[in-house]
Amino acid sequence: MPSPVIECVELTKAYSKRIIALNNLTLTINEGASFGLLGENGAGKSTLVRLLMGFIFPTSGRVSVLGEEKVTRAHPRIGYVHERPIFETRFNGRAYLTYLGTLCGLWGYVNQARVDELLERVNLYEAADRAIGTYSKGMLQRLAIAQALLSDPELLILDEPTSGLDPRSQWEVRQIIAALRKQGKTVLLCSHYLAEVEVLCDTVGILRRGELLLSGTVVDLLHSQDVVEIALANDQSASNVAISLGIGEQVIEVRGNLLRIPGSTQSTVLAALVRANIPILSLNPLTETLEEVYVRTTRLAESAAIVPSASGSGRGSQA
Amino acid sequence: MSTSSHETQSTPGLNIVQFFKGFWRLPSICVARFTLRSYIRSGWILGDIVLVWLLYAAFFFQFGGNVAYFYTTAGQGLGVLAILGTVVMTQRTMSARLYLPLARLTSRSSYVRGLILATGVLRVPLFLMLMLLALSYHQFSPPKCFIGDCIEGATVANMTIGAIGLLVNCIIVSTLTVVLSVPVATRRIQIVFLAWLVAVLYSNSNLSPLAGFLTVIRIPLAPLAACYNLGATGTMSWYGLLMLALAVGYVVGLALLAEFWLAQRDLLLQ
Repeated sequence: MPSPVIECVELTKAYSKRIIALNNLTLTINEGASFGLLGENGAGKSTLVRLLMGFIFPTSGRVSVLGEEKVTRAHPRIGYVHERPIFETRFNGRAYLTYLGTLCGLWGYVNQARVDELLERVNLYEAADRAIGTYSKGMLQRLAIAQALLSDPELLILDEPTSGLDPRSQWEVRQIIAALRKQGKTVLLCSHYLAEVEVLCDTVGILRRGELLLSGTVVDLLHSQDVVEIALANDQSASNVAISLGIGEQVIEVRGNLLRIPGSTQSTVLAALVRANIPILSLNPLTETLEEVYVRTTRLAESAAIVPSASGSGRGSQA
Repeated sequence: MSTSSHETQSTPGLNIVQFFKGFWRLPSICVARFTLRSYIRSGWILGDIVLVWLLYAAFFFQFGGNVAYFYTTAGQGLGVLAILGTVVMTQRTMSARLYLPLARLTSRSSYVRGLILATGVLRVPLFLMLMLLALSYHQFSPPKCFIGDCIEGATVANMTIGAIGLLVNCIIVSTLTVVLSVPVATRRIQIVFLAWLVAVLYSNSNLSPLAGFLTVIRIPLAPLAACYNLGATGTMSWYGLLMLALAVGYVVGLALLAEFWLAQRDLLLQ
């Protein structure tokens, strides 16, 4: 049974009475998981990361990282990549990593060897002795990942690690993260890039205005609609078939020769098709992309937020 | 037999080496060293050097004073320099670049301790520079010294005593500047301190009954005044020694206060 690495219980962070960045968030990320946190700007992703790193303190609720409620105690076991990593630009990459290595308790030959290994790993060895100020954005991001790995951490907290990078640099950073995942590291990845999260994460949470709208495994979320798509052979009209067999009530959508039905009615519809000798080309559970799940979930949340306010204004106008 | 005695003899030496190694590797010492290196590489150190030159040129080039003049003037000038340099150093380090080192430390205390150490240590070479400039142009002590062209009455003893007093005061000032900087102190704390400072200045420059009453609030400044007097008099009395110890206590106390305050702040750095 994997132990929880990150535990947030009814976590709330209010910067002021009006600005509530996180509202009653409860979240558990288990050891070895790769958790993707999705959300628009201002959703509360960076606030959550800052809370997990102990840079800010919760207004209420509880947070625990690697079993430590005083989360800074877990720092040696966490690798952290800030959303906009700012380095000492007048130092070279090697010198800066060496400094951060000393803060991790690495010294002398051990520190140098570790720094060299990581520079090699993030493909910065050639540029290691150049001033950080001359690095491209992609190189800076790779340097940020290298520093996060200095202490060989159990948990990686990556706050938008590919934000603003060109496609090639994004790919390179993703390859590094994918390799870390294979090593069994627990990863918390905050990102705007849904495709990236879909590829790199096995669990996803969608955050909006400080509230966790949805969380679950990527596989479950992509199949969360529980819809089956049946393709009829010989280009038969799906709508005609549905009418003639009297299964219209069980059909969600028809499009050409395609019938979309709820998974729960699959056996009934199939039985009706077999009885009527209607040949089937294929039958597939319908999956959404993470982007579709995200848009659907956030739209639902928006409409839920609009309805009470609309009814509220209605009551106001009635009054 | 001889080997074992050799080993026992080498143990204390090794212990000292181990102690210094351990000390050198303390996170706060690492932070202090890196902060100083960063400050030097950024070029801000040149600003300090230029200001020391200006101080020398303005007050000591046509030097006609004695030890008291040297230390009182240098003390005030280097005090202002301590504030300016520390503000720059603190603003440079307490930015978003703080996140990465902090993510490697188990507490913020090491960082703020390192910063205070760096700002304090920087006072020593700047003072030495000013003193060497003054001494290089003027003779150190009679009989080579001629009135109006030397630090009159300067001896190694009174110069050392004065240097201690001046440096302790400068270190208090730089530490206080760190303590009162954002994000360590809140706006409210800064305003309270400024209000206290205004009250101190009022009580010092007024003869009204209120000013007389307010002299009480100048009591915390006694150790600083005593350190200032070490340079002015060039002698160390028991009272001076006690106040010097108290001033060192101030530095430690202020550092602890900075650690305590920073540990409670939400770090939303830009």
